[in-house]
Amino acid sequence: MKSLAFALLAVAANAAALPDQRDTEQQSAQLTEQQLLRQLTDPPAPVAPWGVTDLISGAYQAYQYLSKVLADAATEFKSGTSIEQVVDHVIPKILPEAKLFHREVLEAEKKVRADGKRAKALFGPFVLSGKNVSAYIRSCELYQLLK
Amino acid sequence: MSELISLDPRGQGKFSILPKGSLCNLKDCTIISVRLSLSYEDGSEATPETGVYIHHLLSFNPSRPSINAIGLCDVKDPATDIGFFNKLLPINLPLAPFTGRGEDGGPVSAVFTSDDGKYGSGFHLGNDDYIVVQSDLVNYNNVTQNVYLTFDYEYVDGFQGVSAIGTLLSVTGTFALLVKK
Repeated sequence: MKSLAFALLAVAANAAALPDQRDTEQQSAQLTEQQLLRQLTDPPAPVAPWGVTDLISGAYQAYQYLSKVLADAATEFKSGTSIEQVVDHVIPKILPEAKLFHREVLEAEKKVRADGKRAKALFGPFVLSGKNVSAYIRSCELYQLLK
Repeated sequence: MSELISLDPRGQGKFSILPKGSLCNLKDCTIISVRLSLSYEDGSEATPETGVYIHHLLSFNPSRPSINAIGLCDVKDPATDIGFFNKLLPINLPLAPFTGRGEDGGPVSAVFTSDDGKYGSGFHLGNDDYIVVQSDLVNYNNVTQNVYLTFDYEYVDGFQGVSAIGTLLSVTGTFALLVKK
């Protein structure tokens, strides 16, 4: 949660301080070789790969969705319901489930407790895109092209 | 997986939950130790050598309260410690920190008891509890990669001993918090 809060703060700060990504790309195209060289030796701060509009739109959509989920939960639960029960009800509606891919009990020689059981469980898959390239990497590639 | 903001310029942030009871065969259990990592479908580990970097992995149990008696930071005034989250969260939300990992974590497990296992404690995980995972991963390859979140853990059946949670600490020092259950 702290990490999420920091991430949101960092992105909000980035989004507020930096121009829209499309503007950045246009500016990069206009940079001279010397300016690019200076960027490489003194790298710019990472640029969030989204613009202010996207951020606000995404936040608004998330807010609308969460509001609906919480409103539904509020009407569904009677007073006296514990927060654990409400959270338990809401979480699967806002977060996707990572499927259990494989689980096995291990015959491990090293255990903390003699009566402990060792196991390994894999969840996913998590799909990591290969196309998430930052503005900094793009500026480096542009420099290589111009060189 | 839900896409989320990343702290790394090339990172990909995600939020997800694990199916209930999936770690301990649909039974209550006490986790003694756990190590998080990433694997490929064949079980081999995804590492920086294969182009995958763990910026961070964090996991929580939102079905149980977070009661933390330790501050996070080396500060004189507890009110200025970012660890105040540790006091505020259990009041407002159940969110027991489970375990986490950065790429610098190495082959080390988080242990919820003493090194020799003689102290009666562990992370209590109910068969009806969710585990929420927040991940920030970096793919340095230009092709899409499928990786699997991997828990390598030791457990005992049922709830045993004192309930323990994971927490972050400053390497320069910390302090005790007053905890009211």
